[in-house]
Amino acid sequence: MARTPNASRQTRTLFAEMLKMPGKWRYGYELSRETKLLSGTLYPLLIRLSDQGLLEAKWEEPEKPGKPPRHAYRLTADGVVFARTLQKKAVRPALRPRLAGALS
Amino acid sequence: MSARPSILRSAALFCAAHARRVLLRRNPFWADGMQQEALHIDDDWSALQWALGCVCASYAEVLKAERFFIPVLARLCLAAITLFYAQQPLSGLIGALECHLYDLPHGVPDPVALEFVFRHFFFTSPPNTGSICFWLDATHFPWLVHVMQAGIGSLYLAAGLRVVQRRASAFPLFFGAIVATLVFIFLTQVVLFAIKYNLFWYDALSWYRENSDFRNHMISVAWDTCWKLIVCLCIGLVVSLDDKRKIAR
Repeated sequence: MARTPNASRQTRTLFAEMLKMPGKWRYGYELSRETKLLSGTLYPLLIRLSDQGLLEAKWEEPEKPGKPPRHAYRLTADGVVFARTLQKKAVRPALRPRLAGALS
Repeated sequence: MSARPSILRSAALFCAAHARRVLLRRNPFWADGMQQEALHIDDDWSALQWALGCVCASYAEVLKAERFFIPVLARLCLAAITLFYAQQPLSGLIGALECHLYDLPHGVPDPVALEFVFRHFFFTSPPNTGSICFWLDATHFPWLVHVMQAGIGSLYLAAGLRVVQRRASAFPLFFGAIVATLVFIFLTQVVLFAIKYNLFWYDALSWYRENSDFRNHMISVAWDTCWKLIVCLCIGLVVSLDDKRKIAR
């Protein structure tokens, strides 16, 4: 069976987090803290979504003086549509069918 | 005056810089982004964790970008060959140190090593040749030999490391060193010895005549050298083609 693209648990977690404030630019470390995804998982996801045009990234000037510019990310219009579609599809069953059958 | 960063912070900065360096050629935008983000994390431990994750992510991205598995495999083979060639001269140095420290009898010849070539053809005086010229005592400048060996070993390690790090500029040096050594071993151990064995020393030195195994050993050295040369050439070809492809892209 073919895998649905961008349907991994980590990607869905990231989409869910970014859908909370779709228009707001978010930082990588902030996303990592909110989603509990480590940078080793988060960056490949961000790069992939950016390549697919679902995410946009830009350099943002720092709020604190003396710090270098940093990346900020937000979903594109396509990304928002995709994330919402994915969210609707991803209704997880409470129990797996076999387990549910055994319990009943 | 700025405060000195802690060890954790220094490690984090080092890892972040490494992650950037790894990914820079493939994707400079994300490489810079990763490094800069680490500088915005106040907690040292969190910064280190973040930077380590960035290292993993950058390597994952670079490996994903490799279209062929063969170049990666070729570089791993090259790393193995580097280690093999580096440990050979370095082991001579370690052996010499052990002999001096523990006063072990120098009775273990290693005819394949460069040490053997140096002793036989450059450092052993003619009266000693054919008697007990394998031993460390027979050389006039044993430490010079070991210093040269350590130098060659270090050169291999340094050049090999640069090649494995995908710095193609070091490749001719490394590849040239390997080929030169193989040709050198082949010429000195096989060709030169064969000439001397058959034409000049055959009747003069009873030691060589009585050791027929030695001749067989030399034949095996010849085969050994040939296949190493062929393997190195093949690997070198794959790596250089891969580098050319990357430069063209």
